[in-house]
Amino acid sequence: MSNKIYLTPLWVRLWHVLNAFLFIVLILTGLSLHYAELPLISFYWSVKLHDVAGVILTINYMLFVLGNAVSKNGEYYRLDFKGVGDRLKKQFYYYTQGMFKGEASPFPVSEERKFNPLQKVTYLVVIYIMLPIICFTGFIMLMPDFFDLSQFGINATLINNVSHVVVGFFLLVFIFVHIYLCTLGKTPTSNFKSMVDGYHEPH
Amino acid sequence: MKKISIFFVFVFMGAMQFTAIAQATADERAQYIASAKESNARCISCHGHKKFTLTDEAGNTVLRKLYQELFIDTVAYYSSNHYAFGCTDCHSSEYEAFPHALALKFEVKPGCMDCHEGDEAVKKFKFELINEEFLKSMHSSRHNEEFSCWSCHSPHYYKINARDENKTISSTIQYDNAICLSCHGNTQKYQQMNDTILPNLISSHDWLPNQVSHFKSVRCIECHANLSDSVLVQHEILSKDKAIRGCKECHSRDSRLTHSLYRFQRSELRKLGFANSALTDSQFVVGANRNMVLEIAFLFVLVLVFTGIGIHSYFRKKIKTHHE
Repeated sequence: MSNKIYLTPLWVRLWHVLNAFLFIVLILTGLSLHYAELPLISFYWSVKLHDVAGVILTINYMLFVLGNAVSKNGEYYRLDFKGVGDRLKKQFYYYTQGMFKGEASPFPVSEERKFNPLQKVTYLVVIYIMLPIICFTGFIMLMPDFFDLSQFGINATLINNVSHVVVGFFLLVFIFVHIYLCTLGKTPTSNFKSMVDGYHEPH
Repeated sequence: MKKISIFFVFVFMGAMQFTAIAQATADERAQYIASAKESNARCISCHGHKKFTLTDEAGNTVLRKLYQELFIDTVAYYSSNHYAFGCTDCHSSEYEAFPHALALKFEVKPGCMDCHEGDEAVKKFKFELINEEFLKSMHSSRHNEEFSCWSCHSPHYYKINARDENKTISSTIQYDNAICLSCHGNTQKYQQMNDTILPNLISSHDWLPNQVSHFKSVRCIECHANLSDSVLVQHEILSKDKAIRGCKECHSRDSRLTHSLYRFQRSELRKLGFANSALTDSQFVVGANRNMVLEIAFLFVLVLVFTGIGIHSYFRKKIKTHHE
């Protein structure tokens, strides 16, 4: 217990669990809407659930960004662009070869460094690029009567809606990879536990 | 006897003129219009104005308003499909006498089928099938002969619409929905056929999300008429309890819209990889407009990711077994 590091405060854990739940709802309902002929959730209920979950996700997202701006948690996401390519290569090498050779992690988790460079870049892309896009395009789709993009030509609606689908797909891929990489902790379940009690268990 | 003579005129007209009128060049059309205007001048001198004067034998004159139904908008008439017709081609020639005889009020007005049934010139419109569908519709079954083709398609102003290649989908939607709304959005006209209060269309469609977008993107008949593969525009209007309410009917790969509003473009090649690409010309229908190129790319990425995860897991397991 003594070498465990307290890295994830309660508010981040609460944000994360709500985010995870909303992602599951949004993925299932999103697939039901996109592939309406599949026997998943009815189109009618998918629309309702997707709309509600999308609005809550947006609010939750804004609270997270605000939380990062005013708390120490935001520092974990600061990226030093200088030499970032090399650091990413090192981490990629570790994941694909180093860890199988028994090498030590090039960027071990510490109180100052919660994420390795690959995680940091991925989270930055997801949080500061993908989520704003999916929330923005989603809101336009949520209120087509209010945001009438047809005045800009059909391509505006097309670009908006296809962007929503594409970003949604990459977020789905992110979830799969995210869950898998979380099994790379000290034990396959230790990283999942850390999102419950806030303590990271070093290798 | 009068009806027989009118039918004779129709048959004669059908044989002699329909093809010529339907296929007229711009010059021929101008000639037909000039000829029709000349023969209709006397009727239009009253029916072409919203007010008219009456003079009695003593020379007294009064200014009277013409009933809306008796008024003929000549601009619209001479640009309609029946532009070349003289008034007495369809109405009794006895109307040429004024004041009109009371007996003329009992005149049997011709219907579409009286002229168009079996007519080679307009064969492609399939009037017979349209009539069959109409007779099965709730309009026909509920109102019997009170409801005819003319109830929706004015004989004076009807202009080809869905087949007009110069028309956009949105103008077709507006045109077709205006026909429905001429009664269902107009209490006076609605109550000429019904004793009930005109239902409020907004509240009766409360269940439908994004009403504005739906109402301007599709026609009423997409949900309120049975699909038909035989005619371009379906005419079997359903009662409200039989109307389509399932979202998936349109929001799916085999979208109902491709069998109705966009049916002529169904065979069109996929544009930019979009399924039902014709729909993307004027809107985006969630569930119906899937991009095939993207779908394949998605599948490829997913296969790649799961293969990567599978290989990584395999080596992790192997190393673990080795250490043990």
